[in-house]
Amino acid sequence: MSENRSRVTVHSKLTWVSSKPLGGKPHELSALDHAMALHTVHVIFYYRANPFERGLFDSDFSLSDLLCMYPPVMGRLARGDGGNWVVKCNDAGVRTLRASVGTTLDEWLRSADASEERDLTVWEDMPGDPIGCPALVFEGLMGTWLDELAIAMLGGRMGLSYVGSGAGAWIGRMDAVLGGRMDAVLVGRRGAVLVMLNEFEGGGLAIGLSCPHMLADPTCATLFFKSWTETNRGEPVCHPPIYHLPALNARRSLSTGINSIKYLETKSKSAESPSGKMATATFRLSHSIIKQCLAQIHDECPDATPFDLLAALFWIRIMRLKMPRHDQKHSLSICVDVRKPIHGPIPYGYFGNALHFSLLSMDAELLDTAGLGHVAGAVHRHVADLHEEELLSAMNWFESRKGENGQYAQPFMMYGPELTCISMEHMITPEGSTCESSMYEAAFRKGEEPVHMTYRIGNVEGEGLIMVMPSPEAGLARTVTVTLSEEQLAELCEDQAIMDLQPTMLLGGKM
Amino acid sequence: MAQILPLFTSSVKLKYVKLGYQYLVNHILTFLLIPIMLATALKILRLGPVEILNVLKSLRFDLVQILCSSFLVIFVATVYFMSKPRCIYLVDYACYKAPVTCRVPFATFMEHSRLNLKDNPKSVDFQMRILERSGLGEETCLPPAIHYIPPSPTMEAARGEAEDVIFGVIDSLLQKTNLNPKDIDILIVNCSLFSPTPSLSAMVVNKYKLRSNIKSYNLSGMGCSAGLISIDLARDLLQVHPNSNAVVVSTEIITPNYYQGKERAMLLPNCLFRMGGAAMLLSNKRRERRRAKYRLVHVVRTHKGGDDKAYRCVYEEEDPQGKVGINLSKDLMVIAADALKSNITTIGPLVLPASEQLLFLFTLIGRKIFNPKWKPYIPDFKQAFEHFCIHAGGRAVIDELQKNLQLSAEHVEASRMALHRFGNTSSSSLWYELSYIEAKGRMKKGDRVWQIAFGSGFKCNSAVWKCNRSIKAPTDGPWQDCIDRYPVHIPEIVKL
Repeated sequence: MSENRSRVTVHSKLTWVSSKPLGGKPHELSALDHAMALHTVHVIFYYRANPFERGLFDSDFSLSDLLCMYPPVMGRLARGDGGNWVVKCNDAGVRTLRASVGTTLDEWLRSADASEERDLTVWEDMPGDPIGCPALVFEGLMGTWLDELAIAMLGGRMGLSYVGSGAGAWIGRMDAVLGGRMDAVLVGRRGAVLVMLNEFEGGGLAIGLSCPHMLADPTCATLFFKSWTETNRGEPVCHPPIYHLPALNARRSLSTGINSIKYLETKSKSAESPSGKMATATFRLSHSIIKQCLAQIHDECPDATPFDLLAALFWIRIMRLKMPRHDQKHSLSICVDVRKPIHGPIPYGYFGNALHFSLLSMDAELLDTAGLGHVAGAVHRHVADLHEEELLSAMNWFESRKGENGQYAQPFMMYGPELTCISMEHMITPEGSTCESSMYEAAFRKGEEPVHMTYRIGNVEGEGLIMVMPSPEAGLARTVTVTLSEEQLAELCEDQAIMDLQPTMLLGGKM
Repeated sequence: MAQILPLFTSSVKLKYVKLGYQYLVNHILTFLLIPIMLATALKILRLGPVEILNVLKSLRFDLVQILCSSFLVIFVATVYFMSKPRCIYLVDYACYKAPVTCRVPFATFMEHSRLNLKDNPKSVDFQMRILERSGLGEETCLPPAIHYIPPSPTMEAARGEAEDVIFGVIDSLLQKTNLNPKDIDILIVNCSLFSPTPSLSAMVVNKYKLRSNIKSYNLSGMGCSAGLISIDLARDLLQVHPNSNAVVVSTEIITPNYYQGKERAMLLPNCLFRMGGAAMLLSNKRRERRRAKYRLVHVVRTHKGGDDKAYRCVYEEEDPQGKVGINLSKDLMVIAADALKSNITTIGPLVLPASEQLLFLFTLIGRKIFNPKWKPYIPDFKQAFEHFCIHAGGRAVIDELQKNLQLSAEHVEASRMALHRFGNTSSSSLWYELSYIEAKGRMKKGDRVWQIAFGSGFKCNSAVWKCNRSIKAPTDGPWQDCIDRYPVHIPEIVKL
C-alpha cells in the first residue's frame, strides 16, 4: 500500500468497554455536527515513558471508568429515523489497537513524515454520502473480493471508501468513472472512536485517537484524552462532558454574521478542487523568539497574540510562494473554537462541534507590501470581532438548509478550498484559572507530560492547512503545523523569514 | 357467576383437604404417640405414689442383671454413634468476580462476531438470535484473550485465566474462613475443558505451598455437573479421614475452548459460557459446627451414559474445517428431562415428606393396577425444599425445570438472575445462585436447599444442603454491588 515499508506493525486489536453498562437514548447530532461529516479528527500524543507497559488488562481501569461518562464515545454512528445521523449508544465500545514501531521516539520525531504518522492512528475516511473521496483505505484483513476490486482501482479517483469497522461496511458508489459497474451499497454501523497504542523501541508511547468529525472536534477529543489522564492519576475530571446545549438549538434571527453566512454559502457551492500530493511539516517556535517578534510589531498591533503573528507570517510567506496575482484578493479561512471557559452559551466541556469558519480577505498587493504588523493587525481584528452570535447564526443557516422531512442537507468540505488556519489559542490556560486546560498537561502519571502532540484533520482539500498549537514549553511558544503541496512545502521550509525564527523542525520526514 | 362460585368453593375445599391430609400423614407418629402417652400418664397418676413404690420393689433386680443391661445399652449406643456417618459441613464458599474490563456487552459481542465470521453472515445471524433469547445481561465477562480480534487463545493465556480465577477465588475463601493453607488436607479442583500438565490442583499446591501429604485430585472432562461430583468425592473422603478440611474449587476455563469455526450447533456455547469460578471449604471437624453455613444432607448422582443418544448429546468434536467445538444435539432438552426424572425418582424418597410419598405410591399402584391412563403424580418438591438452585445452563433449562417441578417464579429467581448477571459459568453457577439467595437475606436456619446440575455424558446430579445458621445478608460476595438492582425483568427477546 505504501511505497516505503511502514515502520508501524499492528499486532493486536480489541474493544474497550466501560465498567458499567450504559445505553440510553440515541445521542442526536447538531446541524454543525452534520456539516462536518466529511472530515475526521486524529490526535496523537507522544510520551517518553509508557504507562501501559504491563498491558491493557493489567493496568488501572481508568479508561473503563472514564467511558461511563461518555456514552456517545462507546456508541456507533448510524442513520436515525428521519435520515439524520445519530449516535446509537449501544455500548459497543472503543476499538483499541496495539502496535509497535521499529524506531525510537526521538528518531521518529526527527524523521517520520505525515504519511508515516498516519499509521499511528487508524486512518479512516468517513464521508457522509460518498461524493468521491480521493483517499482509499482498507485494513487488509478483509481478504474478500472487495479487496481485489479495491486494488484494481487504486491510484484513480473513485467513490469507494472504507466506512466502519467490519464486514458489510463498505459504501460504494461508482461515478461515471467506472461506468456504474458496481452499485451495491452496503452500509453497516460505522465505528465511532478508535484508539491506537504505539510502542516505540526503548520505551516511548504514542497514543492515537481518531474519530469522525461529526462526533467530536479536535478540542473535545483532546479534552476526552485529558480526562482519561486525569482519571488515571486518580484526580477528578476537570471538564466533564456536556452533551446538549439548548442555546445551540435555539433559533434566533440575527443581523450579525452575514459575512459568515455568505462565506458558507460560497463554500457549499464550490466545486471540488483537485489537490496534488500534500505534505506536512511541523515548526516549533520558542517563547523568546515569539516574544521578540511580538515586540517588533508592537507599534502596529499592540494586542497581537502569537496566533495572529504566526497566521499572518505564514500566510504572507505562503502567498509569496504561489503565483503572485496582483489583481486578486487573497483569502485566509480562519477556524476558531467558540468555547469559552466561563460564561457564554458554549462551555468548555461541550462534546460536539463548536468551530467557526470565517474568511479574511486582503488585496494581493497589500498583502505583499504591507508589513507583518499590518497583516497581524488585520487577523487580530478579525478574530476579536467573532462572537458566539456568529456561530449561532451559522448554525441557523445550517438548520435552514434542512429538507422537508427534517433531513440535513448534504455536507460539504468545511476545511478548504482556500488556505485554512486553525487556532488552538483557547487551549492555553488563562492566568489564574483553577483547571489547567493546555493539552500538554495530559500526563498519565505525575511528571510524565507528553513531549509532542499532533492534530490531523482527515480529508482536507484545497490549498492547505495551517494549525497553530501550544508547545510543551509554556508561555508564548507555539508549534505550527503546515500542510501544503509537496513543492510548496519544500520551498517554505527554506524560506528565509521562517528560518529567521530558528524553528525546530519535527516530523518533517527524511528531508 | 354461579359457575365460578362452585369452582372456587371446590378449590378452597380441596386446598384444606390437602393441607389436612399432609398434616395428618407427616405427623402420624405424633398423632399415634400422644394418645398412648396421655393414657399412660393418666394411669400412673391414678395409682398413688405408694403403689408405684410397691410395684418397683416387687421387681427383683440382681446386680449382674443391672450391670449386663447397662453394658448392653452402652454397647448399642457406641455402635450406633460409631456407624453414623460424619456430618459434613460447608464452612463457607467464595465466588469469583471478574474485573470490569472483561465485560462483554451485546453490541461488542455482535461486532466481534461480525468481524471474526466475516464470510458467514448466517452464522452471525444465528448468534444474534441466540444472544437475544439467551437471558444473559450486559455485565457478563469473557477472559482477556477472547476480547482480541481475532481471539488469541494461547496456552499461556489459558494458564493466565486459570491463575486469575482459581487464585482469586481461593484467596477470597482463605480470607473469609481464616484458614491457613497448611491446614488443607484434601484439595479437589474440577475444570472440564482445560487440563494442562501439571494439573490445576498441582498449580494450587504450588502457589499456596500446601503440605506434601495433601490428598489432591483433579477432575476434568466431567462437564457442568462436575461441581457436585467434586462435593460427592469430598464427602466420601471426609468419611474416611477424620478431623479434616477439604477445599473444592469448581471452575471452567473458557480461553482454550472458544469455538472459532462457523458450525451453528457449536457456536451456541460461545454465546452462553462466561468466566466464573467458586471455591468451597468442607469440613468434618466438630468445632466447625458453630460457624458452618450449611450441612450436606444428600448427594444423588444419576448417569444416563448407558444410553447412546444421551452419551452423544453433548459431544466435543472437530467440525468439517478441523476446528474443535462442542456439538449440542437437538434432543438435549428431552434427554435432560429424562435424566431429571431418573434423579428425582432416587432423591424423592430421601427428601419428600411421607404425605407426598404416599400419594405417589397410591398413584403408582393405581396406574399399574387400575387404570394406566391416570396422570403420574408429580410430587410437590416445594414441601421438601425452601430454595432451589438450578444450574444456569441456559434459559431453556430453567424454563423446562420450572415447568417439570411446578416451581414458582420466585423459586427459580436465583437461577435466572445468576444467568443474567454472570452467564453460564458451568460448574460454579450453583454457587453464584446460592450467593444470590444469601445476598437477598432469604436464607434462614433450617432451610433446605436443592442444587441440581446437568452435565455432558449425560449426568444429572443433585445435592441437598441444610442451612446451619441464619445468614445475614453478606457485605462481600459477587453480588455486593448489584444486588439492589435485582431481580430484573428479563424480556423474552432483547432487541439488538
